[in-house]
Amino acid sequence: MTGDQLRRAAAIALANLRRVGGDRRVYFGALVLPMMIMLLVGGVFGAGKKIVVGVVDEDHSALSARAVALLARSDQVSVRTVHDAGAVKRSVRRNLLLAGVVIPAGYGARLLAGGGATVTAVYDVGQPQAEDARAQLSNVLATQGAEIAAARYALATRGVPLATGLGRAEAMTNAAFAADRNSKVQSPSPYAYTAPSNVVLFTFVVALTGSAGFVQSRRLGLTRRMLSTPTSTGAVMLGEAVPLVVAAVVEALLLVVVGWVILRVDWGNPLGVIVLVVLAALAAAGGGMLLGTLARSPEQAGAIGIPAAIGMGMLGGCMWSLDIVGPAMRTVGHLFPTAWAMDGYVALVFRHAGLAAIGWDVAALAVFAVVLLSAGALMLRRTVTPR
Amino acid sequence: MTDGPVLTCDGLLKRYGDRLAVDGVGFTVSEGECYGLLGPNGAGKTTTISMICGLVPCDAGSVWVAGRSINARSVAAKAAIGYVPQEVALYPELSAAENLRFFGRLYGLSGAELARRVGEVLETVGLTDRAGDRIEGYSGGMKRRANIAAGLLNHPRLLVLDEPTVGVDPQSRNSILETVESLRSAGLAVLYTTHYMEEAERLCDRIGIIDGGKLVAEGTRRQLVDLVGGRDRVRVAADGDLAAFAQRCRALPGVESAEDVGDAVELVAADGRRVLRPLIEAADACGVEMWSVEVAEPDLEAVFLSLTGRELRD
Ligand SMILES: Nc1ncnc2c1ncn2[C@@H]1O[C@H](COP(=O)(O)OP(=O)(O)OP(=O)(O)O)[C@@H](O)[C@H]1O
Ligand SMILES: [Mg+2]
Repeated sequence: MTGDQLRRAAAIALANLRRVGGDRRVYFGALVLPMMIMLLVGGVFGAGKKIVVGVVDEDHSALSARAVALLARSDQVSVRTVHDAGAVKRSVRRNLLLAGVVIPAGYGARLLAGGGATVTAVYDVGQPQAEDARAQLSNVLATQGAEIAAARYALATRGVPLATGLGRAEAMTNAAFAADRNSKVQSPSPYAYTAPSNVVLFTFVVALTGSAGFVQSRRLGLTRRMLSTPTSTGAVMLGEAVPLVVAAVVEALLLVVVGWVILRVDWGNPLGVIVLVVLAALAAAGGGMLLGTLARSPEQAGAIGIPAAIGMGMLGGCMWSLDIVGPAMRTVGHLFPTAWAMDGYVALVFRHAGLAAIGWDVAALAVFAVVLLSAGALMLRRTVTPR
Repeated sequence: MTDGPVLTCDGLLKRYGDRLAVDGVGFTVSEGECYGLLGPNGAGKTTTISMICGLVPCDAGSVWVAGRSINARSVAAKAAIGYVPQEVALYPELSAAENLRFFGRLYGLSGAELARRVGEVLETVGLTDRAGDRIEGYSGGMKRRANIAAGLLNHPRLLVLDEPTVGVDPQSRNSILETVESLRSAGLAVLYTTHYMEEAERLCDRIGIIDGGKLVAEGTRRQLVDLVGGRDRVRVAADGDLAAFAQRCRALPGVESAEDVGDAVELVAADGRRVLRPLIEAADACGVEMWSVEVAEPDLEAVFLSLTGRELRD
């Protein structure tokens, strides 16, 4: 395309952006709304909230007390003492507690004798944090198991009394825990999950609803009118498509900045974030182009675009983590670009992954971007070309 | 710049499925000439215009504007055309000035030249004082005027207007017609489609009557009327011996009949204007004092009816 035609494409893109920019509802839908959602969801279900675990200690031994102490020591768990096993189960069922643990009578004695004991745990598997609670508990039991094993070894090989050996072993794990805690990085912001969720969700909301402008240009005869000037079909297509990409990128970057500056989300690798933002925006814009050419009216584009974006967001893990859904739903989710984008952000934010580590997510998003943009361009070409 | 007509189209043909929307239409429009394409709804006016503006590919035929061939793949050659579509094609959320600046850029204008040209066309259509208002707040007539302004930005050699007065109040309509008249006087070649015969009669130097995709007749108004053997009616209001005056009129060459109707004499003549001078002489000779003379030529409605067997408007 010549510079002349590029200038015309830019004029079309600017006119389209200006016309959207004059609509105040856009600022609400694209800025205020996602920020409200981020704050609300982050505040209520934030990852920084402690998991409340009800503990019933039927043993009342030094070892059962040690197990409860180990559990309470965790950053992520807050222990509440409950007096009987039935009450714990009821509370978990009613969501008053996220998990419950029952330490049976004889727990300490059996472990010291070198035997096993059964600790009963109750979870609501529907809760995203149930998995964390289970992990914490098995961590505690493994630690205590190691302490007892060490004490028994000292008794068997050196004749160190069991109580003395146990005391030393416990002191060692306490020291290791303290060292671990000192070296530990700051725990993630409560908004660490909801911020990327909304970035992905609103990238698609903006690009898909933005397609209404497309339909309007066509229906008002503007596209045709543009082609009656010395403007090429390619320039018209570019001028109509570019604003969708720009809007999606700007939306995503704005929310990233809001998350970073206001909600203190540590996004991790900046290059990774940019790549995810741009590829998701391109895929979303391709989807918008498709919708814009298929919809018959601007209203129809909105009526399909919003639920489509929300649906893809749900399946892709923008409403809840795909870690808690079954493998079938996880697979279905990955039929949509939203899931790959979320995987990428989660790796950057929670695991501090580098660009290479999210290579597959980036590659999958790039494939979505190429396929959707090509399909969108093809359809757009069909509607723009004189017939 | 170039000799000969600004627009030459020939043998234009467009098929939609098995329907022939346009069937062998051809005509020319010269500098300073207004050519009217007159036809009922669905006659093929818009389709013809779309082919001329390179917005629809022709199935057959050719279009030349200002010496360059136009087809659906043309880009640069469209610079010579100013197209005013049937529907108002402007961004409703933007002001008239913003819309005009936008289209000006599409015509390759920029900077001071763009600003000057936007000012000029706003002046031409009388919207200077409303230039900053959004199009969506405009009345129907103002929207249409802004729509026309956009088609003038590029100093076109050919101005194509597709039913520019539909749904417009009489005042705006008159202002639009005046604008077109002055543009024609300024040397533009104007192609004007309408299904209002009064507009075609007032504006157009030549008229093509289109029906069912075919150009059924073409010529000046007079030629079209003659084509169907139309006769003028002349009414002379006068005082005196009107019976004698009527008798004398009947003897004049070109007069087919003359009748005394009490306060006037009504004549039927092949060409009303030709008999005016002999009429005055006849009145003098009879001692009749004339108050007024009205010449009513047969209208295009009648021409259309006789050519197609149908009324122009349904
Ligand atoms: N894109 C299209 N697809 C199918 N048929 C079409 C298309 N465009 C026009 N036609 C048909 O071609 C014929 C001519 O239509 P056209 O719009 O040129 O008429 P017109 O003279 O401009 O009418 P009007 O006064 O209503 O604007 C009509 O029968 C119309 O239905
Ligand atoms: Mg039409």
